[in-house]
Amino acid sequence: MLDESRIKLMTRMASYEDTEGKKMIPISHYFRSDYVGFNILKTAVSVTIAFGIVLGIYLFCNIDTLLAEVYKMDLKEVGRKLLSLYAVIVGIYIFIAFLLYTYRYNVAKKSVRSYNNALRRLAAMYNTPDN
Amino acid sequence: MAELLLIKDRLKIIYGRYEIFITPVLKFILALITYLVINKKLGYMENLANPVFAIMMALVNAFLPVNIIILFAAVMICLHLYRMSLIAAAIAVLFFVILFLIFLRFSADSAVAVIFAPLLFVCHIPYVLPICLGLVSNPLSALSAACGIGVYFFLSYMTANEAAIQNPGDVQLADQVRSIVSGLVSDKTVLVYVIAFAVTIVVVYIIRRLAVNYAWYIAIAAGAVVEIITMLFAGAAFNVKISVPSVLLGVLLAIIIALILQFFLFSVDYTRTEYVQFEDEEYYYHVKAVPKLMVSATDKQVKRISRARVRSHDRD
Repeated sequence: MLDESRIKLMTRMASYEDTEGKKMIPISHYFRSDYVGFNILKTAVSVTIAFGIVLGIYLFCNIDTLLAEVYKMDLKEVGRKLLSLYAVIVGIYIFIAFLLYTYRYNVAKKSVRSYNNALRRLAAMYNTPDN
Repeated sequence: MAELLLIKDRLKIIYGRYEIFITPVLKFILALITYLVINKKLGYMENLANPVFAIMMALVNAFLPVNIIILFAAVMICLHLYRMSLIAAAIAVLFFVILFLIFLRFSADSAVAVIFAPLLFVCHIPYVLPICLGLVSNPLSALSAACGIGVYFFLSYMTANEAAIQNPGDVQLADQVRSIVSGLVSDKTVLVYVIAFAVTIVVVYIIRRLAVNYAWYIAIAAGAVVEIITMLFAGAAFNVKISVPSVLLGVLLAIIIALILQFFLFSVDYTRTEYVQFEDEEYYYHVKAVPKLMVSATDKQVKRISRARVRSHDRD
């Protein structure tokens, strides 16, 4: 027999799964450290690629000057400066990513909490003898 | 006001009933406008510039997530630029990759602003963007807005320097690239808009989230003032000439559009605000409840209560 309260609950849950839950439920399946760590790693890789592209464009644009002066340059010093610049940029991005993804994880956990409660209520409805 | 609320109510009902058709139609319109604007601005590849092709692509977009429009538009721009100059196309590809890697991947929720920003610039009403984004989105949307501004100025530079890029003369490849890149980087107008829009978005967002009466109205007003001030100050700081009348007119229009948006998204009746307090095992709750402004359409039903007329021969 149809159980109206169960249908209402399932409709609300389906609606959540289809909208906000689509993003939030997968996030809530991770541990916080895994989710944040994985996204920090992705951010670091992205920034590294972007840094490489910008550096490549810079080198290409100044190829003549660089080729002419490469013998006079202190390559160790240039490399050190480049690495420091890269470290600073990646550091800033990692810090921002840490704050952002920690916040997103907390929001997702909070959002999924009421969905989990609804799941528990639904499971309880199935376990009652009437159902 | 009651009439407006009735119209809003009806629109909501219509949208709720036909959402499955309305959303794809809206996506189709947005995609079509985007592709037509790109074709009008660039349009170097004749086959691609054909409106039929734009309509077909927009039709596909109607059934895909809205962010896919950005991908299609980026590919379209690169193809047009490829016909203009291989170097311009290569720079465009790298430009889009960088935008995605360091900005867009953080603000995927509001990525549609990347499309709206150039479109609003084309319509000469860019100042609408930050106030509206602050009202409907979060501070991260400033990244999407920045990308949109970047894309618009990138395209503007390419079209403005079309002749020089197409016929660079007897210049080496590295010099061609350097000339385009330095031209793009040296335009400080982009920075002025990015700073002004980012500050406005953050200010509007913070104020509209405050638990004060008329927060949305205050946010719109404050956003307008902040936008004007930051535009003028950033313009002065970067030595960029900003037309004060156009900023003022643009911001005025932005206020009007923001008020319309506010009416549809957040119309509440502050005169009937209620403050309630209660507690459970863990917390005390101090709740401020503001009722929504609502007028439900009257459901007229004619019910005949008089006796049906009995014909004379029936009485007999």
